[in-house]
Amino acid sequence: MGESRTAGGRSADPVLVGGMAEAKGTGKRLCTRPLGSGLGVSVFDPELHLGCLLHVVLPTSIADVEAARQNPLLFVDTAVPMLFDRFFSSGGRRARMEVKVCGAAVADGVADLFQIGRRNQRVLHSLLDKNEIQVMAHNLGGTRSRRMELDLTDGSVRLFCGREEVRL
Amino acid sequence: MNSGAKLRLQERISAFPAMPGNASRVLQVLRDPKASAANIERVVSLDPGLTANILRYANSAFVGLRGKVGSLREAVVHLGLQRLQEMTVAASVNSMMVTEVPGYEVAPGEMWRHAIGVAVGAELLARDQRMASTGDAFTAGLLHDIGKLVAGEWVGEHWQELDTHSTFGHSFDDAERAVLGMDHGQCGADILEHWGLPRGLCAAVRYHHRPDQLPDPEGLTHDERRLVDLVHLADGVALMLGFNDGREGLSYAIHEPVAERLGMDDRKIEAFAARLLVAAEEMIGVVDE
Repeated sequence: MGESRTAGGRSADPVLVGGMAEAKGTGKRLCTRPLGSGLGVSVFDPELHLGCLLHVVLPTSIADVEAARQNPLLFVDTAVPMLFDRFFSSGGRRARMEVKVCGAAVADGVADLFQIGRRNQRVLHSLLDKNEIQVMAHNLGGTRSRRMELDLTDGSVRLFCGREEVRL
Repeated sequence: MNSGAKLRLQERISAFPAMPGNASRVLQVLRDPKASAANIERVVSLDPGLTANILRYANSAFVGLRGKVGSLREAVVHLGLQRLQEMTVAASVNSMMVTEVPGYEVAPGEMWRHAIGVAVGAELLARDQRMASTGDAFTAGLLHDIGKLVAGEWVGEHWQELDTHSTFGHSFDDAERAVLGMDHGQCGADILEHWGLPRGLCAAVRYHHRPDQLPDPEGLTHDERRLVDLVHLADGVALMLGFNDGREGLSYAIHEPVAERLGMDDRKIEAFAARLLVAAEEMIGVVDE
């Protein structure tokens, strides 16, 4: 996998839109493209310095069954179970895992028709609640599109929007 | 409104570079009803970058031709004039759009990704609407934000005022009109008029954030008016999909009547978003290879 330069000027392994990446070890980083109304979901095991980062864009696979068959990581309902499966199969432990969620921006004052960000959040929270998974930190909503970077040294997340940087 | 900013914007638009000479020549021959496939092939072949892009594009899944296209002559015959026009415009504006856009703080490459996302989305909608000229939708989508290349300098200079204005219930293009005297759609349309591009394309670019303000009748055909809706919706969906990381983010209104006119409900919007994403990622790969 190639390296990309984040807005903070550091190098990080890129996560594709409708994609997921995993890394292990101090000093490594994973970074999404701009999330828009999509979600970035990170899972981190501080003992192993193991992390997985998902960039998912649409709420449910019913919207386009063929697209979901070709790439289940596009949809929250099919991608999130795959994220946790990957984390656990790589040795991550549920008792230690730290989950962070970012994104779900919404356009200005739009009708429900265009609230993909809110629908993404709804489907995600329903999945997490059903599986009794707690979110350690989040940065959701608003109109800003952000890139999400997970640092495997300490599980910290940085969000980049233009030149602004927020640590989560 | 800052009248000095508007005046300086207009001066910059007048001084904006013309389309690269070879692109103008290719577009001229593509619009000539008497031009033969051999004429077109001869003019296009003078530009090796354009030739390579046309061959990659002809063989992409987005175009969906059966069988492999191996030569420029075959591509000219199979793609048709409209698609050649799309590729010519795309190849000629690529270098302008891959750089960082100051003011809006768009990272290098992201403006191009956004342009391709909207171009592909507008063309998919045009196909769904069974419009005769789907190539115009692609080109209008590709060029819709070109005005940001001019407006960016003043957006950076007046960022605080723009940000404050758009925070208080106004979309970012409202803020641009209030603070700079023009929005980036108006700047873009003026550039395209300067380039001599057709009026339907110019209207789609000028009104892409305010489709309901397109004057009636403005001398446009039904399909030319519809083009504004296609670019507006494709732009909104591309922004939601994260095609653009400008610091104004999603501070743009999406007009519900446009979705109604195009027969979209929430399920159809999501299905369209999935198609746009897959097609745009493929197209970005084709052009960037």
